[in-house]
Amino acid sequence: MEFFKAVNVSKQFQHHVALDRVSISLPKQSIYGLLGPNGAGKTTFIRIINQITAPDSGELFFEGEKLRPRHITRIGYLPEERGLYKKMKVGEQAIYLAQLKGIPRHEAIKKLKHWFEKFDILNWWDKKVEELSKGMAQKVQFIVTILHKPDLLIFDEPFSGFDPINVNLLKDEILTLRKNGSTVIFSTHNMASVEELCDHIALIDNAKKILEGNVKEIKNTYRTNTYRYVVRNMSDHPQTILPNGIQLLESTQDENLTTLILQLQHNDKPNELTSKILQYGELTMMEEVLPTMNEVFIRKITEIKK
Amino acid sequence: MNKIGLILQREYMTRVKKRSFIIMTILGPVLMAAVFIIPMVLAMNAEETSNIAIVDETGLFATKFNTTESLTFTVLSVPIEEAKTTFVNNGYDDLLYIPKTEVVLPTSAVIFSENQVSITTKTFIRNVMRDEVEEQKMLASGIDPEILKSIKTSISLTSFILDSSGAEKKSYAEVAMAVGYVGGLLIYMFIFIYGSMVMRGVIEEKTSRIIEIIISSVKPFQLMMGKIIGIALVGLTQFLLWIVLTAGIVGIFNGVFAEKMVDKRVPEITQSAGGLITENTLSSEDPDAEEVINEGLVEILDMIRTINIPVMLVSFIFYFLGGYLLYASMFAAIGAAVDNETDTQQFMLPITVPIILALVMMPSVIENPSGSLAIWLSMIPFTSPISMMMRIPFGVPYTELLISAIILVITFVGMTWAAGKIYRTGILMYGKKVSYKELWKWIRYNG
Repeated sequence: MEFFKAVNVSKQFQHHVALDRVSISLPKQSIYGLLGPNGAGKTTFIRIINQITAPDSGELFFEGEKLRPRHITRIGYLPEERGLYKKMKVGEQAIYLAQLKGIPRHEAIKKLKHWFEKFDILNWWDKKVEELSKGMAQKVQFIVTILHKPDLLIFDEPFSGFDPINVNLLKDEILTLRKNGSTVIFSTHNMASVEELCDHIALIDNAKKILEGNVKEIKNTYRTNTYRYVVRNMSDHPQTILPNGIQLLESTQDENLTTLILQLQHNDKPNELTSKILQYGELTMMEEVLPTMNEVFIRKITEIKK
Repeated sequence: MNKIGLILQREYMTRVKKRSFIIMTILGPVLMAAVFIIPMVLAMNAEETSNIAIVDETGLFATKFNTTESLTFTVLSVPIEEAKTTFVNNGYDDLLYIPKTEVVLPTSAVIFSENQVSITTKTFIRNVMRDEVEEQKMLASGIDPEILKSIKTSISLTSFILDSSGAEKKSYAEVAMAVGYVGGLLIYMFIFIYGSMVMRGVIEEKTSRIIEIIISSVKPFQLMMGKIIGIALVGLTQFLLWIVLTAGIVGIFNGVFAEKMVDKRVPEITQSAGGLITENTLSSEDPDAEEVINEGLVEILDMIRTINIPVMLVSFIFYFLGGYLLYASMFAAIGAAVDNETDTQQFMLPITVPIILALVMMPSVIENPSGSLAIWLSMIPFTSPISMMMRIPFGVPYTELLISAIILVITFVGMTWAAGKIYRTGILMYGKKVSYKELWKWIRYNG
């Protein structure tokens, strides 16, 4: 059974439609990517899940129950627009935010100390937030988001503003949380940043969901029958040896290694082409080139426009 | 509602711990205490005396300048040119020169001095000369000054309020006026200082972008109410500390210096007792003055008794909180609608105009507390906290109080509801210039 479900959620602001009958369904312990360009309606959708705004129509279910205010303590949300009280001390502020999520004070302190130690920021406990760098503040925000061990974690543009080291730290933590039972939603316009993490994705554009499904399945559906070959000491010019119906998309030469990206005709298998190439050199690598989510997205958009 | 409690606690604690709060809390009573203490200190230290030499060419005033506590007069019989060059060396501070006049009585004089001559000295000299010249003129036209003195009359007017049972109650407009002013001004200060504190708090949460983190845990309305009530408690704490500390400082001062004050007074009294024997004119004045003071004390106590203290207190607390809550929710809505403090100007006008109006109308309300202007102002909820507070010491019919209170409560509930709507939409809105039309849409907007 799905862990979280949204059915036909619509939301209209004064002059524009922010969401138009969007439905999603999250399996338990999955990582779900909500992808789409800026202004597509992702943040509105996430605010509806967090019960910050109410939908005009549509229903939401948390573990099969209608979504209610009491579910708030089971959700952890890291918004895109995130900050902290500048004049407040870091530790005091983290305790406050944890208490708002329903954790008793003494427990919050214990847990926070544990996490601060883990993230190597315990010596900031008594500093004021205005003394911290942006990256430091984001670590604090991340800890506060996950401190109450939410069953559903929602990250809106989580990696913007983080340096690569911290991005990896966060990714590891998110994967651990998933392993321990949490379900995760990522919302981002930077599709490449979360592609490898997500099991499921939904593409949102212009208030509508235009594509949804398992990442592997989507990539298979949108495969273009394109392959990459790396050949050592190729004897002839690639163009002259290719059989009919095969398109050379790209060819690069690096010392004695030639890399070819070739697209086969629909339904053709690469076996014949491979044996042909074997005659002209030493094949060191061959792999299928699957489309990135960005490419899938662009193709889907152009399809819709037609 | 545990969460409102948490928010309230944070709002309260962060503000009370602030350095500016502590400084203001200490500085306020020091300033207020200074208002009480400085006049006392001045009175104690006003012993400094000036020696004034007089060269009177007319000969009219030689005996008229009586030496007082702070001024000593000496008539010199040397020519003015000589006096001018020697008076400083002879130990005089100032030299008063009344030049000779032909035919008419003198109406001008000159003071020579090394330093600036104090206004009290000038006034004293002017009065003495004027009295003398007037007396001379009256004598010249055949009027006896004694007769004139006996004509001068002072009327004492006592007013009574007749209540429905026909019982008489002495009314004291002056005390009622003072109580009304103090009550009204306190409410005005409270609304403005702490209302704008609410607004700045909302703007801070918006600009620091913590707002969305918080409202994913609590409802915006809870956050708004927690903030408003938390800041109200900050205000009450500060007011209370001000009162206690001011009383404390004044009390300590009195304790320390009271003995000195008494010491100083005793010789004064004996002195005037001595005067009683020698000078008749003085003796007839002093007991009178004392009687007046005693009478005054009794009267003040009596006046305070005429004010209905329970009604006064209950309605003060009601209008104090009601007015604050009404305006604070409006301030919160404004804070939510803008991105920074400079943008608040356009929305501040509708808030400030009614308050300023109530303030400007204070004298008119006091002048005629039962007039139609006063009644209207005390019914309109945006002015009633201040205007009604001014009327209450004069006595307001209970039906009027009740109607005014009900209107205030209804408006407060409605305004909080509308402000909550604006707040909820506004806090998540960035980089947008908001118009009144927009605000109206937000109020009607669901969700």
